[in-house]
Amino acid sequence: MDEQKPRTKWEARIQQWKKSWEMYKENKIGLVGIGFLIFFLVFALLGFVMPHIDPIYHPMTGFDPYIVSKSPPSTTHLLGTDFWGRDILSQLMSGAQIAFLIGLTAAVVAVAIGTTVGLVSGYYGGATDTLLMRTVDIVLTLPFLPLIIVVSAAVGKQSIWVLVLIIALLSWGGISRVIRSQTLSLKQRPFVEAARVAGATDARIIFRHIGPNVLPLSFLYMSFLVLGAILTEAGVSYLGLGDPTRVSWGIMLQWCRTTGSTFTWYWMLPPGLCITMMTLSFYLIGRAVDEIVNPRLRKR
Amino acid sequence: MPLLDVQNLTKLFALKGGLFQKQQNFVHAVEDVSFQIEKGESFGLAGESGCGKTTCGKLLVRLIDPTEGHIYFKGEDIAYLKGSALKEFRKNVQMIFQDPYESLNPRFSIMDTIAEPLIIQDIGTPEEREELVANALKTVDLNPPEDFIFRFPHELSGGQRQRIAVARALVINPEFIVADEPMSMLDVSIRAGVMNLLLELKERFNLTLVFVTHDLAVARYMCNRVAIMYVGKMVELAETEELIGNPYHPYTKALLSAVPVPDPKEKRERIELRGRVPTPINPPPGCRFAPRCEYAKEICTQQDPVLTEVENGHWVACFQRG
Repeated sequence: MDEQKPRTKWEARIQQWKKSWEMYKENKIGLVGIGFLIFFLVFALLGFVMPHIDPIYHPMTGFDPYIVSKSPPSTTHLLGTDFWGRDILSQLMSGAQIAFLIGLTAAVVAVAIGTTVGLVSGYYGGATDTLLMRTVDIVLTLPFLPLIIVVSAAVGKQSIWVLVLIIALLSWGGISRVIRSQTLSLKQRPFVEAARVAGATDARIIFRHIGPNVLPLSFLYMSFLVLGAILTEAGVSYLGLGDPTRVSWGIMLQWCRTTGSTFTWYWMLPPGLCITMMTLSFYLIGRAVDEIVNPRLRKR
Repeated sequence: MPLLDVQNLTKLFALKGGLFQKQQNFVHAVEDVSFQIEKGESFGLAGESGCGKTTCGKLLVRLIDPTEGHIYFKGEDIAYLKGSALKEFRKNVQMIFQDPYESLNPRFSIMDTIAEPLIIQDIGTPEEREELVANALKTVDLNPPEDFIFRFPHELSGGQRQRIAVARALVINPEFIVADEPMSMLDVSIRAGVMNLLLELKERFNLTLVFVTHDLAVARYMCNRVAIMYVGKMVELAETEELIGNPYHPYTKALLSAVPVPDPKEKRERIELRGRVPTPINPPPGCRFAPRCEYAKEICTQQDPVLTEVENGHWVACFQRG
């Protein structure tokens, strides 16, 4: 090995990350995914700047006083305006913010629940395992749309956070199964026994020894969950069950449909493309991470 | 007083029965085993795969809980300790595992791995721990320590990993170490190195070693005394040279006759055993070896032979005494 020997804990950690990055870099598809992601990140951040340039670029209240109907791309409105004369480009940016917000929070919550349930279930086994896994069965079979309709009605208002919560609470099932199966194999490994001989508590073994070993898998599933959450929000919003106080891509599509503008290309196409590209970017990243986590998939 | 006094140690593993199965089945992994280990001794547990030697080793460090029997460590029964008393006991024992590729956490740096027992037992400040880890690395001949301390297991060779495992076992200064076939996964060329290291450390720290092995040659090199196990029972126990030179039990004789001799001219009588090792699930009464034993008489299938002293320090569990 010609690399430098690490002298401190942090040098060692950084070296490990660098190695993982080297491996990730090999995968061109994964790089494309990262590229898209950075583009959308910048895009979403620009959305915060737009209303400060001119109030007519506010995605929700920026009604252009000179435009009374939808209008095609022009110099003031690069991607045109919607039915009420609001700028489509700034709405798209707002949509990217919502997509990140929903995608990441729902995925993080779902991964946290799923990983913990999987670890505990797999480690303790027995009655705990049965109880948790039957709960997972229920979670996996709960119908999504009826539930969101009922919950929206019960809560009384359609809030983005209710949506996030429901998505998170309904999507941790699969990941907990995967983590459980990994835990079942990891807990039998001698390094866990070695920790037990030293006197480690169950909590220490679960979170310090087994946890870090299943974490790459959790991350892998997280990227697919982000994708799922974004698509779900778009679908639900399109059906009119989304949060009407925020402009998301799904809401844009819904407005487009309800005003009878389904075939207005400059209004319908951009949010649709954005949804596709952003979910695609998370999918590509997930695939690339998958190749690192499961070395069997790696091409030689 | 012996350091370890094991009395009638038994471990049964319950098998999951079917829905309509009335009888609960048990694997008799270790049954009614008694022996003593003196301080500073190197004690070998030998036998075929599945004879219960590893289970026995794991019972000694309380990695698994015994079903029956007692383990007196310095006069205190540790067989059923729980909670903080058990944790206190764990300061005195360590285990070295068979496969160095599996016994080190792949996400832990060498520092994390070796310091783990110290952290769990709350010994020293972080700076002191680093010092202790560096010293432990030096004692297992991984020099200089700073070349290894922040490495990860996958960057090391098998022999180096097993040395790391030894260092982890040594770092909290245990009284005794159970080594579960620590050589069997290593290359022959580095096996001797690790064996000599263990012997050297045993002398240096006045350690007591319990050595689990299937290899009688390794047992001969490493151990003062050897116990032979067969299907959960201890069949013979003696000083290593005595056991090899003067075996009493027919099973021990058969085992020894299977050891290859490094001389092509020497012809030796090879004892071929009939049949196979019986299953340890609900075994019938009587000597476990009786179905395969050429000396078996009626009593052998009716009563359990008890481990008795036939000569000074030579114990055999056999009605025929060979």
